[in-house]
This record gives sequence, structure tokens and C-alpha cells, in this order.
Amino acid sequence: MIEVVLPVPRRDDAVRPLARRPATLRGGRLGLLDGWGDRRPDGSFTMYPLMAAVDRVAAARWAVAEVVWRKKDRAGSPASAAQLAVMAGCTAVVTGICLSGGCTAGAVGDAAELERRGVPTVTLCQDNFVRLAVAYATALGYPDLPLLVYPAPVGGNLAEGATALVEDRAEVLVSALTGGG
Amino acid sequence: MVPGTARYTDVDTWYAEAVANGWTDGLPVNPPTTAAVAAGVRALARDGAEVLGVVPPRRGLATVEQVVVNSVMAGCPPEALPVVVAALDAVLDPVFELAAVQLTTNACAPLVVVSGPAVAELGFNPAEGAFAGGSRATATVGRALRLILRNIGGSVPGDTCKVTHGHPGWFSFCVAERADASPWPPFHTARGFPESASCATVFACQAPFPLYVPGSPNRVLRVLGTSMATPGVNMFFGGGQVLLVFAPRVARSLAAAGLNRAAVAARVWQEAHYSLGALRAGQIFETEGHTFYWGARHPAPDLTALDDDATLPMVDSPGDIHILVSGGDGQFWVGFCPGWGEFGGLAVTREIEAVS
Repeated sequence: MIEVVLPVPRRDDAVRPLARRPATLRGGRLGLLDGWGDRRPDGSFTMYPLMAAVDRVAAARWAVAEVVWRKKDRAGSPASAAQLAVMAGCTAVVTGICLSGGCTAGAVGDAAELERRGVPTVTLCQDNFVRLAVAYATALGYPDLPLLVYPAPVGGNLAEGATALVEDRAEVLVSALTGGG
Repeated sequence: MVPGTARYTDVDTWYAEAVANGWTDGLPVNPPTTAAVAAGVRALARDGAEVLGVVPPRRGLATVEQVVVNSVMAGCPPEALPVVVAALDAVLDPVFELAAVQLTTNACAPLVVVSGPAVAELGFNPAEGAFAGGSRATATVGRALRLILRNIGGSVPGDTCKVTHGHPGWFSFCVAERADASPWPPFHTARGFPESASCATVFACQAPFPLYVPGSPNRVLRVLGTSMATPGVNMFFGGGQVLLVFAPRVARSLAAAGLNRAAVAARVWQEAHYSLGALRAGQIFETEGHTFYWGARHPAPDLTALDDDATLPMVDSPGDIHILVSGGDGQFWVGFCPGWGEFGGLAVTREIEAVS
């Protein structure tokens, strides 16, 4: 017989509670923590199209008082302390975009940190990265971290049809960020 | 499965269990017997319960014991364990962004570059087949780190890892400097460490693409630069770092022309530029940010202000081009190992601690 030490490490399996959700986003401040942005030819960045779509929907449907957008320097890295501080002052935050592996780590990590600070979040996640997102969120203590899942585009444009996607899922989005109201 | 010990009737049964539980990359793994693990922990002269770090994405605790378990599975000899520990500490440095590296679709894998007296002392192979194993130390140190990232970190392709293709370095990725044939100071001195040190440098990168560079030093540097700067390499939209692995005779040729490591990096950086006119003519830019030069970088240059004659650097500065001398002396080859970009996996160096 061979006795082995199993290659099974100990992990922190604690499940942490999500932040309390407000009854409504009306009059609140919505944070958009954008991992990618949308680069313009002049080198400047605007919102990633999916984030821009959330911005438009928020204005049209949720009557938020203010939208605060911050673009991270690197999609796969945690947001900076300054950016997290800004987001922590928001009523709710949308993080993303999980359109590849590294940025999934970044966006989910940010969402988990904000939930820990008491800020409701939802993370925009392409369907082919959901498993990744859930695994990492679970490891961070948030197995039920809210994700807004959208289908991966077949073509090379990762943001095609963004507004339609977000509008189609607007109720899911707002339900994740509020008490359902 | 929960942490602990288990008994198996024989090695074949153990291997089948390892495959069934996803504890291996597919290749056979040594059974981490209690005796072998205890010997490894003694060799490190540390407490087996000591936690060296938390490995993402599943955030397993990298205790000394679990590091040794995976190293034994890889076949790593006890005397080489300090190299594994140094490499693990390096990938856990926040600069390395290990969580992102573990989850990315990019093929990059953490390469362990070993330099200093440890290369000879531990039997790493820095000569012919430097990336192809050829020594127990080279093959198993690289594999130990891969198994640690898999079994402690929980990065499993198809499950938590979305790597599209990967490369053979995902089985084992380790290379040693060939200092005795290099015209330049040891690799780690460029990383800020004393010449006498033994070091492990980690860098998440692709398997080496061999660039054939006979000819004059000027030709060598032009071919290197122009071969590297293509729009399909991740540096095009992500910047970051690259590693060039010079066969000794190429390095000696450049040194004979009066070029030290820094000068080579500077010249290669100059040559590794994109032609803006060629990119425009080739319709490389489209509307989506990922299709732009440095499209994921912040800040990025204003391309509208540049005419077609402009050239754009592949990476920020010569300091982002790491130069290592390793490999055989047969011909004029340089291995080109692009990193992932500035997203993560940037080079981190640790001194290999001698066990007292």
C-alpha cells in the first residue's frame, strides 16, 4: 500500500452576505466601473458600449440622479483605491466587462470588494465566461454574486448590439441592484 | 475530496485516481507519499503548516506541505524545492496579477528563469534543449509550479481557466541562464540583484518562437525588431513586456560589436516599431477598441495627429525587453517569448534562499 498526502489544499469556504439592496435606484448615484472603455482614434476613452448602454437605460428608465463612470487602467487588475472609494459612495455599481479571462478576474474581484463594503453590484458577463466568473466569485465568498449574462458575439466586434442587449435585460439588471422595486 | 491522506494499492491506482480527480495535467505524477513529503518539508527546514500564500482563482492555501506535495508529484528533487518556493513567491507578487494570468484566454504561462550558481549546483540544463527539459531540475521545477497553480490555485483549462490553446509550457516551463557562455553579466543583475545571487524570475509568456538571425549585428537587430512587431502579437493592443532568449553565439557576436545587454535592448526596441501607414493601408484598425494599436492601454497615443510616416513602439521602453542567454551553440537563433501585455504576468524576480 502507498500512503499519500492528497494534493487537496485548505480553502476559505466562508460565504459572505451580499450588500443590502435599496428599494429603488431613483434619485441615487449609479457607478459604472469599466474595465475596458472604448478607445477612440485620438487615444481617448469613452464608455465601453455595454456600459454606455447601461448609462442610457439608467437615464431613461431608472431616474438615477447621477452616473459616475470610471475606467480602470487595466481590465484584469483590481480597481485603484481611489476608484473603489468613488464607487463605494454610489447607491449601486455595475462592473465589467467579462469578455475574456483576465478581465473577468478584475471585474468579479471589484464586485466582491464593493459588496464587502456594502455596495450592491451587478457584473456584465459574456455567457462563455459565466463559469469562470462564478468560480472566482465563489472563491471570494460570493457564490451568488449577481451577473448580467449576455450572449457572446459571433463576430469580431465584442460590443455589437450593446444597447439592445442591455435594454432586453434591463429588468434583470435593476432587480439585481435593488430590492426588486 | 477533502485535505488529508489516503492509501492506494499501487502507483497505477494512484495515477488513475489523480487523473479522475484532475490532479494532473494528464501526464503521470509521482505519488506524494507521506515519507517523500516529510523529506521535502525537512529539506526546506520550514513548518509544513506554514502558509506561503493564497493561490487564485480558487484561493487554495499554499502551505509548505502542499507545495512539497505538488513538487513531489512533479518529480522535483528536495534540493530544488527552494527554487519552487522562490518562483511561487514571485508569481504571488501583486505586480504579477496571478488571478488574471490564471484565467486569461491568452496562451501565456509563467516561465521560471533560473540564474546564478544554482543553475550548475542543482543540475539545470542551460545548453542544447534549454526549453526542452534535458535535466530533472529544469523539467520538474517547471512542472512543480504548474501543478501548484492547478491543484492549489484551482486553474483548470475548461473549468476555471479559459485559455484558448495554451502551449507545451503548460506542462513545464522553466529555463536556465547559460552564464558561462554569455558575454554579459547574469540575467538577475539587470533585475537589480547582486551577481553572486541565485534567482528565480517569473514571466508569463508564450513558448519561444525561434527567430533565425545570421549576419551582421545590425542585421540581427533589424530582423529581431521587424519580426517581433506584428499586429497579431499581444503587444500590439496591450503593450507589456517580451523576453528574448539569445543563443550564446548570437550574444557573443553582438558583444564583440560593443553592445552590452542594455544597448541590445535599446536597438531592438528601436527596430520593433509598427509603421502607422502600413497599419492603415492594411485596414488593421476597425471601430472596436481591441483592433487599435495599444487599444487596451491607458493612456494611448492620438493616432489622428500622426501621419503615415509615423512609427509606433511595440513596447514602452527598452526596459520592457528582457534579454537572456541560454541554449545551444549550433546556430544563430533567438527565442522570442512575447508576454501577455500589460494586463499581467510582468517579470518578477526573487532570490533563491539557501536552506540553512
